[in-house]
Amino acid sequence: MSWQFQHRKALLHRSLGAMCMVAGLWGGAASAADLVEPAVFASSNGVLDILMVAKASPVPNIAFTPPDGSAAINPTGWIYEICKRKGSETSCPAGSGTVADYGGVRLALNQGDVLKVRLVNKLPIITAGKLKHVNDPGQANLFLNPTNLHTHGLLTPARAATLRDPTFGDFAFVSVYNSANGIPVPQTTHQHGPIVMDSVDYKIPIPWNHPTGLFWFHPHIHGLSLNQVTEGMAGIITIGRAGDNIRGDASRTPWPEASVRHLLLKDTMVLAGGTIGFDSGDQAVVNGEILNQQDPNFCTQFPESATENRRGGCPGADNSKDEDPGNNYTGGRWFYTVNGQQFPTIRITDPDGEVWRLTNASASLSYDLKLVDDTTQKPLVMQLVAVDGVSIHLPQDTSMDSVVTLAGARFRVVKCPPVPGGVLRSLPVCVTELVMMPSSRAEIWVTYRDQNGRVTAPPSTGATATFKQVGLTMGSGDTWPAIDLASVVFSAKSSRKLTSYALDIQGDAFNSTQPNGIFSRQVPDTDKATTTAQANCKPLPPGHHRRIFFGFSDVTIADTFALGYEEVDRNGAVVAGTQRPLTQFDPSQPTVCLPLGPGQTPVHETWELVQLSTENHNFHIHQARFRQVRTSAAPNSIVAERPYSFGGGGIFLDNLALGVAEPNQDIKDTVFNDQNGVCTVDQWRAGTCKSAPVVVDIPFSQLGEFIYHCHILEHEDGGMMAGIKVVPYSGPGWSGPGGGWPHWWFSQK
Amino acid sequence: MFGIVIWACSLLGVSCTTATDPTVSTIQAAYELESQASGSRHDTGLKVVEAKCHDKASASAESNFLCEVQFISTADPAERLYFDIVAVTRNGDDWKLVSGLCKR
Repeated sequence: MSWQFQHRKALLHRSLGAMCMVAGLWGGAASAADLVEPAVFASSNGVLDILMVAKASPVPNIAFTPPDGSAAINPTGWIYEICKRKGSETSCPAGSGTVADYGGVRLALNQGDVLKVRLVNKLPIITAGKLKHVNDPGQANLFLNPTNLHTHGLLTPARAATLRDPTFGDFAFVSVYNSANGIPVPQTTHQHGPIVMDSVDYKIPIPWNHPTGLFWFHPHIHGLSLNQVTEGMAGIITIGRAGDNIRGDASRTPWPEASVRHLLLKDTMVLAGGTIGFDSGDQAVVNGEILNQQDPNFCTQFPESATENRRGGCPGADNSKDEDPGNNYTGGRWFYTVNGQQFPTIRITDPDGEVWRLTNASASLSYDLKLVDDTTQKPLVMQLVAVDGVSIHLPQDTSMDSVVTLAGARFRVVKCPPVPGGVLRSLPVCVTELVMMPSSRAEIWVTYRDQNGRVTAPPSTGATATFKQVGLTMGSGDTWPAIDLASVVFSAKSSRKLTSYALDIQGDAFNSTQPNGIFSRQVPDTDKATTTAQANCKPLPPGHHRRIFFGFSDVTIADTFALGYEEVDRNGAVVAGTQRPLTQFDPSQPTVCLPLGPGQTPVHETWELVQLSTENHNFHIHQARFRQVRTSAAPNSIVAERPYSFGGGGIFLDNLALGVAEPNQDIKDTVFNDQNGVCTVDQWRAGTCKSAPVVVDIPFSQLGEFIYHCHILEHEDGGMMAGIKVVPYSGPGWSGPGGGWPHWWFSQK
Repeated sequence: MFGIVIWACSLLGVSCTTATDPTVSTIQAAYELESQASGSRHDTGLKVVEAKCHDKASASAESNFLCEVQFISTADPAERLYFDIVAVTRNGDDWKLVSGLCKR
């Protein structure tokens, strides 16, 4: 049994919605350092050309004091050293133009830009016994620490290299090895993508009609993603400016960039010297070593005493005496950072408040975030601006229920204070709590409010709040601890200029669905496609859905994370010959292949996501984003299966939390005792395991070969991932070779 | 033949490593021999366009060299570039492809 899962049997089967809040033990003014924005590399003349060196480096902002009383240690993480690229160099010069920050950097791009990256691998070799997947088929080279780059959330082609253009687009199958660690030995399984030594060049175009907002980058090596992200490898990407879509309701001028704050949330577990149990057995660890797999039981979920310090971290717990024994982490500490800083102070001095752009850059950890007023101990109301990089846009008559659906039930939505009619272009959405599973982004307007949620000036003496992770339990799975992340000080000295009630948003969720929007307009450069169709590459017939199962390939074996597939017709019947059993990831066998529409236009498909596990998963797909919809909704509803141009898309997501399966009394014991908490497809079909499909509308607008997966990286690395291809249209009316889609293809358009 | 070359090099006190490394053309020839002999084990119609080899010190027990190769499929008009590590070993005067050279 996995060491990460040793405690699960004893857990209560609480759902994601069972949120708990710990009392504010550490209220009051903070003395910590002020939060610093991530360093910025901005494009100029349409290009950002950078060198990114993945390497080991001490983390200066984290000082770990070993329990043996020896000197404090700055743990060594894995970070990106970044500088502007001048030529064919493979290292950055020392000096102010080079940034090597565990906290991460921001790549500032604009619509129509090209991001050029030379990624150099200088990562250290890994002790094989500390890796979970090094003994999986075809994965024997993982200890050499290959890496790559994924630009998460960007709508850009997943392009392979060609003889004429040897750069890659956002192609997640590349593995870059550090030759100093040795040459990878060929594997007999053929389960790999391009293998490149030392460095690789990426050229990632940002379409001119790309949504503006917040995205991020991280490595995507299957079997190692968890380890590399946990060690610190992540940064953020912004397209355009917040003011492109947001303005005040009073002055109607674009939101100022000076009042936008980026908060990159990372966490790392630092060990005291001793022995730790890994999947392969016990391994020696040294003081200050980072545990590069996440163990949710590293700390207790809530403080064990009123004096326990939970500002920016929590103390390691002793699990060795539990009923189902785990590791003894006593003396270690789990550090939670914002932009690499522990429990920083955020001073909000703009009287109109700030727009916060939040990124969960954790490998497996899910946040449940609140901004709690230190005086009232109540969560402050915040206005939701954007989700997963796309600003939201909801018609004024959208019901609260529809807002919750479109937002993927990720936020505690509350009624906004009243706003005079005719002032705002879309319905304001107010929230008091944000559940952010790994890879989630959310943009919120933070301004001081009274107890009724109305915007107001802070008291003349100032006001404070605490930005908290309040603790979260993932169904029958992981329990994530409660941590105070930052102190917030409201200290505006002048009166509001831009805002009276709310921010006025004309969201890209609307613009993207208009005729020139990225989900409507002809896809460019289809003549340069590098992905070819496979035998089953056909458009989905009208009314048909694709159904994806989230579970285990063998429920009797722990951690066999896998995805299943089938196509269903308009009556809900499974289409014969389309079923693929729950299978662990194999990059050489894409599950889905689809062509663009006539005229090389984006294609909308409806997917049903079926959760078979009693722990939460989240769905993420590369090169696309999606809306949670209801198949029963009227065509002119904001939650209709296809967006209608008047209302726009509402909210577009790129990751979506799935609920938990509920086995009935007949099979409950079997599922939890013999099936590792995971139902089978047969049990789901028989109705003994309840799990309502989550239905999403996915507009495919990008060509290439990419993947969809659970973004809990432990699950992704374990195999809960599958391949997908999008190829150019080659049906009727197409002048190229091949083609011949049936006549109904036109009728559905 | 190979042994004679090594003996001659040592007699003359010069390094023959470069002269005896596998090249694009020798790997291509080894691939063609192997793909004909092995049936469906290898993709057909591949053309090696670049190779960089590392000597046996870093290779596996049954091969002499590990080579970074780039290749294309001659049937692909887009000329998609594939990257792989192949293991090759000396086989008399020729080279034998032990593993590698696949598109996936």
